[in-house]
Amino acid sequence: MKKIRGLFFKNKKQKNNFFNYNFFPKNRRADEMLFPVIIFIMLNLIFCTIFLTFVYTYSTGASVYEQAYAKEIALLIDKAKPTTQIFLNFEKGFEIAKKNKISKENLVSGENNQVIVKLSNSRGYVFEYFSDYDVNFYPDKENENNLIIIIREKGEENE
Amino acid sequence: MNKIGGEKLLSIWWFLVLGIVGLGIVGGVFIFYSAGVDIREIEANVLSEEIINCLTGQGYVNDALFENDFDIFKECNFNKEIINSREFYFEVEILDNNGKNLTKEIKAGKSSFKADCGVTSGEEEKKIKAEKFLKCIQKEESVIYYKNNEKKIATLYILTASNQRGKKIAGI
Repeated sequence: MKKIRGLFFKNKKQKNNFFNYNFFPKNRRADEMLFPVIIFIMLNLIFCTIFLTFVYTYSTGASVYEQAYAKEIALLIDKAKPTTQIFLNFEKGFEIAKKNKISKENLVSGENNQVIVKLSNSRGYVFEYFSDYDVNFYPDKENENNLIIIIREKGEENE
Repeated sequence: MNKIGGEKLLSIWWFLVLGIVGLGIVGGVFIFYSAGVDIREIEANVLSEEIINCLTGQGYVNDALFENDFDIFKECNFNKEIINSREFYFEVEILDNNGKNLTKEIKAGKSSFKADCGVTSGEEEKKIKAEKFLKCIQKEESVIYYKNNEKKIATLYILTASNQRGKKIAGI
């Protein structure tokens, strides 16, 4: 047992050295002082960067936009009359989908009264609309930031 | 020893504090962004506006409303299955000056929602604040209708409710 203790703590005075490690000891030469300070600052910077990256990634991530777009589109459909063509600015959605390598054509679908928005490979968001219309979604070829929503009466054929 | 308090702080304990703060940030961000966008009230409002738009035109009641085979789902382009089986409810009444209902009963959706609406809406001092509860919209409009070629005024009462939250799906 004493041998094992000896591996970690040389004597009783050094027992708490690990948790009380002093990055700024006194009476050291300047070059000896600099190295721990640099490490300390770097570790702090790394730590802050990780958390800022996490907050940014999560707040601009697919899940937030999937939900917002699905709900916005469902409300637009419910409020619209057939036959209507809506040009929705979908810039952020296209941007996130591009990052996640998802084709523009498959981002939004609307079957069985459900709007499904899928901006990442692993998941999507579903929201239902109560209007009894056929809905189709296409990326706008003239304006690459727009998504075209076409709302038709049920059974009306595509042009 | 020759140590001062400030020096002692800048040790592994400093990183432990940073870790705790970091966990707080992660937790806060996670809770904030997983809360969701609540559009239930807007949705209930859209539903009531759509009902008003299809039952009336320029203040006049749609004549079809007084027919026996009147179907609100067909008239307003609502999906019967969605309204009846999901988190929606609506009820329409047209009352004349004597308080008599001029049409047959028009209501659809989850019938329990009507009682639930009574809990969260109504008089300010009586209503209960319940954030996770359904959202209801009550509207009242004066409308004109013809009876025996005579122009009459009635009141259109509409109650709509929505409790649709949407859902995340995985692996599609």
